[in-house]
Amino acid sequence: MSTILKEKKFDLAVSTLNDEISKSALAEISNLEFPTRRTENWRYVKLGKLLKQDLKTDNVADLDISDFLIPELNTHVIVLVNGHYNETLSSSTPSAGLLIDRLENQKDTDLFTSHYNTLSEKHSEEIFTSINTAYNQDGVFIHIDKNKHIEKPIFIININTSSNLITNTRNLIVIDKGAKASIIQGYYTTSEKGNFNNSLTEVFVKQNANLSIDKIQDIDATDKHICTEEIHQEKDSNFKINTFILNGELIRNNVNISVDGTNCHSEMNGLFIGRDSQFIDNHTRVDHLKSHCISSELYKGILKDKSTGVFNGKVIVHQDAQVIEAYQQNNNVILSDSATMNTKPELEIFADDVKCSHGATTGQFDEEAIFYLQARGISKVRAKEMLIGAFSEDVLAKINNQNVRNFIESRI
Amino acid sequence: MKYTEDHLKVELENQEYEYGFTIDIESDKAPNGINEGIIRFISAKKEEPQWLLDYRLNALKVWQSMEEPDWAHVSYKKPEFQDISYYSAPKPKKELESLDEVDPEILKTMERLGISVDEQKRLTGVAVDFVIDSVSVATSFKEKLGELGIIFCSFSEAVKNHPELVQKYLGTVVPTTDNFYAALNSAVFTDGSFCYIPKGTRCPMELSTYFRINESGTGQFERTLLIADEGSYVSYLEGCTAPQRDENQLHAAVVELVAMDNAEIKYSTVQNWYPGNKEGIGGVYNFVTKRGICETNAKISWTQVETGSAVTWKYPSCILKGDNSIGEFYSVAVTNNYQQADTGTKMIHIGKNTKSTIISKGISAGQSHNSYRGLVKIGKGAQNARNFSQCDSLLMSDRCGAHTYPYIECENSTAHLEHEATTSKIGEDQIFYCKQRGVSEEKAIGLIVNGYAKDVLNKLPMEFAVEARKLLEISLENSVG
Repeated sequence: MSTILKEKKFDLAVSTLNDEISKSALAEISNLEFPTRRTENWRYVKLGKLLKQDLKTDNVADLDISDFLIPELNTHVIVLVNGHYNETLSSSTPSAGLLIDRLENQKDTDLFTSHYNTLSEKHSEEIFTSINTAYNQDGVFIHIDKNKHIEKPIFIININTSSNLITNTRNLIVIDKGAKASIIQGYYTTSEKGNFNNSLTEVFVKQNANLSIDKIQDIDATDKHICTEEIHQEKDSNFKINTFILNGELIRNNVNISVDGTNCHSEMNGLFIGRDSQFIDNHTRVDHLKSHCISSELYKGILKDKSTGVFNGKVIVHQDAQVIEAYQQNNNVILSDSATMNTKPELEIFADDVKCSHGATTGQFDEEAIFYLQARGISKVRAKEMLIGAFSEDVLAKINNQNVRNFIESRI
Repeated sequence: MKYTEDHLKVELENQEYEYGFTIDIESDKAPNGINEGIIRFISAKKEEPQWLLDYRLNALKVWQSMEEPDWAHVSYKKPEFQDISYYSAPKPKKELESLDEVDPEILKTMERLGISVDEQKRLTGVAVDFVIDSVSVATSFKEKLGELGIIFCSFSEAVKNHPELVQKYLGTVVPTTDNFYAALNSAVFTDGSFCYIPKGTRCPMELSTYFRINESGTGQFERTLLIADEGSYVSYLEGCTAPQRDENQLHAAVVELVAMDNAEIKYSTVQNWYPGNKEGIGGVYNFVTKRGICETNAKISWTQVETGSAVTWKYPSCILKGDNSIGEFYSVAVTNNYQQADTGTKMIHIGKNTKSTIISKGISAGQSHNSYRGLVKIGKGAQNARNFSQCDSLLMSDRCGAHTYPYIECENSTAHLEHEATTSKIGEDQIFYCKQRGVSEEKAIGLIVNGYAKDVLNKLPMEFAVEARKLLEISLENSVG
């Protein structure tokens, strides 16, 4: 094991979901090095602080969650407090074909065993993925039955109430053939500080199914969050994930989609706003394994103060995956001389009948546009706000639900 | 007969290397291997001063502490560094005054390359510094350049005649510690070219060096140092073809450019080392470190046409240190059969109002892999820096690969950065459009490939563009048209 991790004592219990998988994950961790600036995938990330902290786990029974709900939006609510599934706070109206449960309770079902860890084991070389597999303590299981359309969004609220907390939340979502659902994931912190969340969600979108996820990360400015989504798409399926990063000291998102069926549509969008000395890192990876698929990606970043943003998009078109269209777009605005943006849009193409493109820009707001607005009696501050609004618009427009959109806009 | 992409593919695969032949010149070789003794041998052989020997020995120490990098998207059998002879030179002869004194074997080689020195001298006004197996044997137009104070000679001559210039600038742009191959080169380089353009001088002709790898089992370690003093201008051409061989040959060159205030350097390369046969056997390993540094208002422009080598690993870079300096990179890289290329550029913006442009065009055919890897870095103090990058890939077969790995790092709020990349195969609709207008499919494909690379080819100096087109034709266009 990397000596750093060996010396570091986490107060963690090994996951009981599947002893064999936990054991092999532990073995994997012992072979892995803790990522440094020389690790290509973690090139820009400063993780040193994480190791200096003493982290612990905690569980809280009761809490007022009204602050975190989205106004005027009726949803199934699942609440995880400090990484623990809280049944008293969660409320979901029973609907046909919808199963929401604690992951632990499902561990003996066929659905669980045929899906759990099948996606993340491919990325077990990522140390945080293996840590989650080995030490996950709780999480959500969602299953939508065949051909069922769940109209009401499912809202998963993750709240940290403690300080110096470490959580390894593990979720498993299976959208069966022809089913449709939308999920909102919120990550929040109440007043306490210095938490570290390492969450991992495995998502299966079966044949002709349709899933959209809106992810809101609004944790404390001293909290760190490493958030991984592993997605598997079967043929004719649609998947969309919108990520909104509003606050947090260090946020790293890994979205890995493997498009394993023909005629799929995959979409990833993101908007991040960095202030103070925040660090925001978005890694996406799309593996096109089958023909006739489209993937598109739009990430926009606004960086203020001393914040640092990273975008690393990777599209891999495998051999024999023909007639693929893959688009990547990353636009960034830097508003301060101390802010940094690192962009790396990558394409790896092993097939020939493809249309792939990526575009990346980094710049600042047009002085002339600001002047134009000022000339019409709008203050400079207001003019900049308007331009930020306009800049964010493309990504916000990707949100299907108007209430969710209003909620996010109000938080920006 | 209907000409389709399949035909093109077949032709590309079957294409033999046209310039494959070897010259038989008795060499004065160093024993295989690398150690302090060998370094001292090379240095003594070349009658070098102590400071250069120290430089080499230091580089050897650095190199021995480094590991061979493996981050590039290429896979190859790593060279056995102890099986290479690091020095081989044609028999030392007395100073040459005219072409008559040049070894007739060499003249013959040049003729077969279609670049007879005689012809070159008379028709094109290009001064040719001919490098065969690491040691320069003929330099022309020297006198004419001498009148302007321009120094253009082999590296070893420069060490003898202008030690102060060499000592001052050697390793300032590419330090010994830069990377594995740069360190190796610094330890064992045998020869190369040296060029100095004095203040305010515009070099009246294109300076050109033709390289050839010869002598089986000899790695070629070229060292080029080009200094353009304040307000000067130079256009420098570098081109190469190599004989056909079954054994992998290592080529690890280092090129350093220094553009002082208001100077401009245009550096063009046509690279056509032996790429290996169609089963991917043999071919040259080309691991090159090229970098230039720009002072205030200076400009460095890299243009390259890469058609050869089994494995290429090359990133001509610009350090835009001075305010208002400009860096440019134009590249066409063609890979065929089992060739692998990982190439691109680095633009490091340090000064204010610095500008850089990157245009990279990759064409992959057969089972080859062609990667663009580039870095654009805007430092904190680089106010109003501007970069435009475009990297396109064209795919010719369903077994080849085209990859892009751009790194864009920005630490300044006034910078404007744009990057765009596309990957596609030759458009069916483009071919259809041409056919509709009475252009045959065969010609249409030629037209598209040609047009695709023209952006870059147009940046080459006149004299060189002809050769570049010729090489592109050999690699692709000829088989199309």
